[in-house]
Amino acid sequence: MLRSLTVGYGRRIILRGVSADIPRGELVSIVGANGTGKSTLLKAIAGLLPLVDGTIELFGRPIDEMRSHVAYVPQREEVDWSFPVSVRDVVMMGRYPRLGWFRPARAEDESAVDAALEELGIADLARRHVRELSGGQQRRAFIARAVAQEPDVVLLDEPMSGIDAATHDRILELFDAWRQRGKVIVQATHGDVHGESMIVLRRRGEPAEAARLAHHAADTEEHHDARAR
Amino acid sequence: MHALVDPLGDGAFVRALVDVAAVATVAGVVGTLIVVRGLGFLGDALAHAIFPGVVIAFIAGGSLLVGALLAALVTATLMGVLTANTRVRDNTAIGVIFTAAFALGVVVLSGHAIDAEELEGILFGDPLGATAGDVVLTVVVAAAVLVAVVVLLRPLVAAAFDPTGARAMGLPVLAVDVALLAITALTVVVSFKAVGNILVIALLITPAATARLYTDRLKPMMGLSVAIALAASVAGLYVGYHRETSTGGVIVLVITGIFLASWLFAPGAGIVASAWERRASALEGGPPEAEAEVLLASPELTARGPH
Repeated sequence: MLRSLTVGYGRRIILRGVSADIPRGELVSIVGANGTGKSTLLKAIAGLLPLVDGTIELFGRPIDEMRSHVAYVPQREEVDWSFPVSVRDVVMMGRYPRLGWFRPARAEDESAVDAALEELGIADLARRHVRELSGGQQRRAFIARAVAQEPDVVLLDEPMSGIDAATHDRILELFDAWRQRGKVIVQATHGDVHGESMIVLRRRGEPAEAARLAHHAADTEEHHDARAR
Repeated sequence: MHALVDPLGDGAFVRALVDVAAVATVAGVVGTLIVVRGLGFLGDALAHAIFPGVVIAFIAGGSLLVGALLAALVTATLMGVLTANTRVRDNTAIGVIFTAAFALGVVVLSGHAIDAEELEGILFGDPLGATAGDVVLTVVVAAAVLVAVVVLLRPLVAAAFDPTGARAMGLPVLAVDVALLAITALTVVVSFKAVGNILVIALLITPAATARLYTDRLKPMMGLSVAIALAASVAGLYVGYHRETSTGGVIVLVITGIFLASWLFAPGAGIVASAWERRASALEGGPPEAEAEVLLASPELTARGPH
């Protein structure tokens, strides 16, 4: 549930008055031209940007109390790929919110990590350094991290950019599986929408229809229309 | 053999050995965190920034370690305040503050008559001059830093590798950065008796950078970094003891030698080793891992070769 969200950097207001009530099992795509604030809105939902105004609630509670229930898959530029960690280490990071930041991993964490690696088809790469992977494999590793976290909400920033067809299909299957289990998925995307629900962002003054048509997905009915007032 | 055993009967040597070993261990571990985070410049800055604290403590006749610690705290705070203004980038703030602090130290120093040997100790280390009190303080602070690293390892790794994802999971990344700053400051402070204010950065950065050439995993990197720092420090101490030359200087030269040799010959990462591994006779025979099939839509394309 997003309620009259206003987000910005410093004194610049990027988006004002975005509201959306997203039910369980929904996949929502944030779409819009470059510079309309797709990543900004996603980061705000993830709690990475201070809100100028508005509230975000998850199951009736403020998002700040529910952080461990929210998984975030960043864009690849935001990760230090030269850092000495293996694929397994990355996926294990998904367990940290459950595990606490200081306790050693338990058997259930190890098995959750194994299952997540299996689910994304990268179990054989577990001991590799992250830099040795292809773009698609790196994305799989980060999505495996989200799987291992067992979240209620998954936020993905451009999950389909720079990946191979097989990874693309694997991610779509996972989206379906997540939706069936009642998870909420929100993705920022400049590509395909993969679902009925959208938050369409547009530049000030641009007509709503034009923004939607520009995204060649205007034939769907159930938009969650974000009005930039 | 006597060259190795005899010094152990000398109290000053034994104190220096304990001091240097504690410093090498903590510098190897913390240096790894700094190197993987790309913060070598920060370590250098902190080292310079504690200089006025040490000089003032020296002139006032107080504990050099306490002076260094106070200076490190003041600098770390200033750095945090300056970078809060996003137009001042981290490296810029570091550059501004560390040169200013060093200049302050030089100015304070120039107003006082100071013995050249004592100055050398401050700048380049004097482990053989360590008192029992110095050694105890070093060991206690080093142990505290190591405990802090063990406890904070997971947040430190998460914040360094993927700060955005870590924050989304609820990790206070800024607090973790401050903790790393404090850990680095303490390490620099306890190291300067062993290798001196100017050379401490080598003990932090070079063993870790060397270890990185051998492994892609963090914990093995820490272990190797500690081993290199320990070996070089003990070797440097023996040479310094027997030859009556600058122990800190020898330690740094030994570490640098190990780094250069590794840079050339480390398997997989050293440039000579990599070239050797790629030589034609070493390539595996048999079928390659992948095959290429060339499908061109236009027949003219096949006719057009490279000019």
